[in-house]
Amino acid sequence: MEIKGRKKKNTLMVSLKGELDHHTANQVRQYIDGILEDPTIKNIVMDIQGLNFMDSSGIGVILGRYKIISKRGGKLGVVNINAHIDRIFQMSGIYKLIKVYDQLDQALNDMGGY
Amino acid sequence: MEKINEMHIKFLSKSSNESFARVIIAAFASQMDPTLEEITDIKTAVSEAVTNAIIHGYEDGIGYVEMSAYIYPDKLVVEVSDKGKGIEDIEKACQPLYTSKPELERSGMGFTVMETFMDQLEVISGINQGTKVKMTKYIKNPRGKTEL
Repeated sequence: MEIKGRKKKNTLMVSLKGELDHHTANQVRQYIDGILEDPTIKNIVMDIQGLNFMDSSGIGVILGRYKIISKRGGKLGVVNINAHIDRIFQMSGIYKLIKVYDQLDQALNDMGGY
Repeated sequence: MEKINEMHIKFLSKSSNESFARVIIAAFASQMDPTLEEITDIKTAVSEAVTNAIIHGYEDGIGYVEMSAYIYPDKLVVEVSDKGKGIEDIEKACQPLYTSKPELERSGMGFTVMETFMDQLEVISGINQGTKVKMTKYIKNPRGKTEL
């Protein structure tokens, strides 16, 4: 799993590349939570274009990060969802909590990251 | 219907073997010439079953996870089993969003994903005996069908 993060104003942008399962979920969790120790970060935008596999462990990771930032009054957005991940998202009901964007720019605009 | 092929593997309940199991099942199933979507469905269901065996069956202790797969003319059957602690209440475990380990940030979606992505799901479990998950996926245009 390759994870890249970048902070823009109060939004953390994270791009994930590889396979997100129970094994790699820990790595993603630790990486993001480490950055979230910075209390000025309110929002997270996850770009998952590079994810070529995800199972329900991914839902756990996203929900866990959502809980942290929603306590700060922030939002969580996901960019570049493919059809397979969309099916898992739909069955989990996660769309009630997170926002989905086609473009990274759109997500950042909405988060006030620009 | 007659069985065309089968395979069996056994590996340690280490989380690094989750991707190993996915690669194995994808390679085995590819003999049937499934669509990319069918392969992804199978890989995802297997990933869930193996993850369950590792974190629930053995609770992160070490044991063996076994995976068997059988190719029939029209379907693939996959069995994932462990000799771990077993499931107390299968019906409850299969409910969407139920997890016995919320502290691990599990979503409770494992069985729901297996049920949705495969055509049949059967769970057999005994306390301190282990759990076996049997999943069936019908392949719409398998290579074998046209040859038979």
